[in-house]
Amino acid sequence: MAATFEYNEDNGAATGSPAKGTSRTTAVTQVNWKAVDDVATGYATAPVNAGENSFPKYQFGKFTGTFNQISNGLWAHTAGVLPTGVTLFGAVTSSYATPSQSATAGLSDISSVTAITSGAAVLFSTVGPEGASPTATLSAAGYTQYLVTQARTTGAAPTGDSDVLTLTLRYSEN
Amino acid sequence: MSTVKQPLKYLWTAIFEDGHIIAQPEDDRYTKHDDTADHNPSAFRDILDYQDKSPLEHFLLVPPEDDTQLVSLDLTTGEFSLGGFPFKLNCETSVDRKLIYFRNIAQDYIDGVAQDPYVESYNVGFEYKNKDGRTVKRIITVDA
Repeated sequence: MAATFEYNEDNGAATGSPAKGTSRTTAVTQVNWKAVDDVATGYATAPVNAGENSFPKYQFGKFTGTFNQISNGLWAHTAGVLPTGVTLFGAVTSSYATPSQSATAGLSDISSVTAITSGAAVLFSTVGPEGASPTATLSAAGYTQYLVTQARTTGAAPTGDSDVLTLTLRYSEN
Repeated sequence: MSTVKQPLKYLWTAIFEDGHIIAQPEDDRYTKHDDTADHNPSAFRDILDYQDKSPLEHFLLVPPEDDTQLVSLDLTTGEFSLGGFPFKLNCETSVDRKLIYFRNIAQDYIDGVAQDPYVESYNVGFEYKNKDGRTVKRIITVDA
């Protein structure tokens, strides 16, 4: 046995304090940047037009199962090249804002490949990704902070799928 | 939900000053495991619990199929051994060493699809307070 991990995703208007999404989807198995704020719609059904942005994806990890402690959380874009005219922005944060196709504040350009050892630090909370005082370690069932991503394009963006990208979350477990 | 699917390449064994030995079970189950709980500590918690009774002296990482690659740590001296080759990392003598052990786990999204988490490495070492009161860590990493 080991820690059990799954991605969750928040969508919809920001609600509560600290803010989180109106809806929370568990057991998410894909991340696709598209022109709709949900989990289920296929990206081919809601493509991002050249010159526009995707809705941001507010995903986060959930840990249950068997572990003594989770620590050393890191997150990065670790492989793959984005097409001309497409930029991937991202951030690790405990803040949630109502998703829109405007440029989400607080994100940085993560288009360049980064070794996971130089990735962004990820903290944890037993409350949720929005937990106000996230910690470096987790010793009970809990969550990562939000791992937010948004694709931004210019008019030079090509049609069709981009090349394969890899986003990596690394953590230590004992 | 997904979890690390591959069997652990190294299982640990902990040997205490009073002679007590705890070996990591393949399912990593804590002796006080509660099947009804959303979360349970791993067997590593058994080491932490027993240290209240007796200090931990030796910690071993044992590959089940190839014990020539055994990794050991003597917490009384700070000496490591890797495949039978003993060595020390820079460490002060006569300090109280606290065990460090963790596995690095990676979870990838490839082409938008979440993959199963996997073990990247096993890490073992110790930390201690130096004469200035600063915490010093000495850790070795073994690829999975």
